[in-house]
Amino acid sequence: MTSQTASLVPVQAEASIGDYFALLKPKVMSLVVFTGFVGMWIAPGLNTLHPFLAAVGILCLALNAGAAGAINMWYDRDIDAVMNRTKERPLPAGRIAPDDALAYGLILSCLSVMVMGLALNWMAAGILAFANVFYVVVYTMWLKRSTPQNIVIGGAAGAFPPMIGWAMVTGDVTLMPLLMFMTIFIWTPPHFWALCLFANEDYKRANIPMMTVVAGNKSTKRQMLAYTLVLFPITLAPFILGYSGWIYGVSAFVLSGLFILSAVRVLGSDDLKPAKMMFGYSVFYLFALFTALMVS
Amino acid sequence: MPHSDLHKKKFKKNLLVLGIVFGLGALIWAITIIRMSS
Repeated sequence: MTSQTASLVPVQAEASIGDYFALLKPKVMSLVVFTGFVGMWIAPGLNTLHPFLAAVGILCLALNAGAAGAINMWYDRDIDAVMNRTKERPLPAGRIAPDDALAYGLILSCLSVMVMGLALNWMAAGILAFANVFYVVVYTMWLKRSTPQNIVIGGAAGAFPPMIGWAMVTGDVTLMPLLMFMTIFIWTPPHFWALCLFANEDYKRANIPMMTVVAGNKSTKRQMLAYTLVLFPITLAPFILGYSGWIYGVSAFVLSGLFILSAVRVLGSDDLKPAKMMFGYSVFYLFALFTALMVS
Repeated sequence: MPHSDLHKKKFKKNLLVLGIVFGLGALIWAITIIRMSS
């Protein structure tokens, strides 16, 4: 189905508030909010930031991520309709009209950037706007349908939140937020490709050139292992450079080590179970790693 | 004010949108007060 025919799918039922909430991709939003919160929490000078303004900043971060998700769903409604994982989303299911979803996403994007700039600073607002445009234009509209490196480059969009959280407090970007950015950036390919391994048929049907579709499972699994190996020293860098304490150092060592082992298990098996387990672990891994950073 | 079926059908959603607009105004007002006092 082309995007033109998908746009002709009639709105079949009245949209609920829940449908508009689903349009914000709440699961992705929770990860964005959490990593953004950690970036803000560990930034020097947090005690000088008014709690209400900090809460407004996190709200803007959440709404902006959600808005980007809504525009992504508007653009991808044709491929969402042919994938089992996404066909029940509000747009392909015909509960929200495409124009409404686009307007909703654009208005929320502009509002969240504007309020972030007014409440915190324009550095944080600028990175927020850049992350939004990167996700929508560079990843969704350009890379996703054109190259198997889509998630590698596009993953940068999801890596910005801790940098934004940091900039909300300090108004600048230094080495520590860059290390957090690199952690999520390098974590994204093995995380997403683990999902692709067991959702491969969906991507094939939708004609999306994911790595598993273009290069095959074996090559993808090798690359997943390579990314987990690169991730290991990056996650240890905050401890080695003295930005965090031993709680984080030990946690990063153990968690990243287990991430490598899960990739080895995936590589050595033809079964889909290790890939499903690795996907689940990758979500836990990022939450646990950033929690350790916050505690440490 | 006319009270057609369309008005009745959209009443709750219109109230919600109105609430969001007022909420945004209140938010920007609160931000301004806090930033001016610090």
